[in-house]
Amino acid sequence: MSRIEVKNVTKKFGAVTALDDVSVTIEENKIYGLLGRNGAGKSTLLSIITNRVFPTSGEVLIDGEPVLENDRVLGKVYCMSEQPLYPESMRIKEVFKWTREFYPDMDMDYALALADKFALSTRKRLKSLSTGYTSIYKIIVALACNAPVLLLDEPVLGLDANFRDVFYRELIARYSEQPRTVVISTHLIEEAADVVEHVLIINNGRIILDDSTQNVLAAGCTVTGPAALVDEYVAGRRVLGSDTLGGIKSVYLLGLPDAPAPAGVELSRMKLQSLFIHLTNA
Amino acid sequence: MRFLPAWKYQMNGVKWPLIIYYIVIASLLVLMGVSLSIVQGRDRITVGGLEMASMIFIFVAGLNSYKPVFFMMSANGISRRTMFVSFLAMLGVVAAGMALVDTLYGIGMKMAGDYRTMFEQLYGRAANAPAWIPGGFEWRLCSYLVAGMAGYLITILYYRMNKAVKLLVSIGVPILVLFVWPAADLTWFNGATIRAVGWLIEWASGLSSGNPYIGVMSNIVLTALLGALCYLALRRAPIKTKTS
Repeated sequence: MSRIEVKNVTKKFGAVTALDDVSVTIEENKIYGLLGRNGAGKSTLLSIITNRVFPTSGEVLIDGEPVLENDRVLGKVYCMSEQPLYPESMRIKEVFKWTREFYPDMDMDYALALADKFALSTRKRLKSLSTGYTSIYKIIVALACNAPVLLLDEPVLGLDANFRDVFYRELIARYSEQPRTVVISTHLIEEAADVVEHVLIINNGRIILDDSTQNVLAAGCTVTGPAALVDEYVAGRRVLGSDTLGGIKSVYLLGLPDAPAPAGVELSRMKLQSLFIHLTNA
Repeated sequence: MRFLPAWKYQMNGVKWPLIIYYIVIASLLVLMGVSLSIVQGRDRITVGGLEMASMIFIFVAGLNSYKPVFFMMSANGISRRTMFVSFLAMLGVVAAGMALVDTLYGIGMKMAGDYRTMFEQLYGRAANAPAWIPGGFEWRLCSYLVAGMAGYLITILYYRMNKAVKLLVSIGVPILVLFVWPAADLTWFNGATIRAVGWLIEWASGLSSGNPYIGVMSNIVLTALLGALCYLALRRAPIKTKTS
């Protein structure tokens, strides 16, 4: 089991309220997408779940036990954070070695194989790594440590498209072999949309959407076609946004139209990013 | 409590500095012995003040045992309580090891010639002081514990302070201790407060009575006090981060 319950958590940094009475339950063995704009409170929420910072009020439970100063519970969670927490002088192989000390289930062979796949030399020191490779070593540790709960804060920061693809493939493969609870916090929403099963959108310190990806994407649609036809078809409906290229217009609708689309107009799946932009621009 | 990996990590941080420290001490001893015997034709040389050097070493080790360790352990799901307990265990082992090595060094040097350790210089000043003073190992151990704990407390307190308070403390405390207090003491108390503190230190360290066990007891109390303050400062220490 690895179920996270966040109960009425508020976090204030001086006059700034980073999290405002947040309550959310993260079910076991699912991949969650934690989406939010810069400063929305994503990293703060992950830091509170891992006891790295303390909530001003509220509490976090994992499998029914408070995380506060609880080694047993904290040992079930691995949080890959954007912030550098490992000593800069450490070599990659030492990072792997120490991770295995702290997470005895760490799969060292898999970590080394992943390092090969990402063309990462394990002899390198952390301070010599580029932004992309800094993300890569953290990804390797996160995937190989075998913690039942993985919290990934901006895991693909600085990664090129090829390595991002490798990461998503490895995540899915690993998850398929050994299901676990995964929370991915990212700004690359469309990429993550193909991976996450459940979406949490946080805005101004509050959870404003907590639903399955399937339900979220089914809640709207994209209407594409000649601008005049599209405008006529969507008139009076709740439009989230639109893009126009030449004479072709795409309109993002909340809800599904009752009438069938006219000839030349296509209905397709809603883009998660469009919904996100609409919800977080309010 | 995931104590063992945390303790191993703490020990790993101090292992190489400790080895290098004693290699430097040994090298200095050999180097000075060789050079002075060549220059002056002497066949014996002693190096004093090892205990003071060890106290400085362990104080610095305490200073360096907080932030990087706190970050690393937080990254690996270790609670602050376990971090603190593992630090205590590391400090205890290192202090005991260093006290043992320094005590054996003192005994060895004494056998080689006329050598007095810092401990003997402090507690063997009385005219009726015995040739061998008991309690050297215990005194060193407890002194090293105080030094390590003091370094740890200072670094935690600095970590918890914001920039303004850090600046205020860094400038204010030295000014207060080196200038304001002596000036105020001389102006209004005729030197009484400084004399009182001096008397307290002499009494608490057992120097006035020539009894090192009083110093040992005082250092145990001081270590416990500093340790309690360390834990209070550590238990609510956050990983300092920008709001996401």
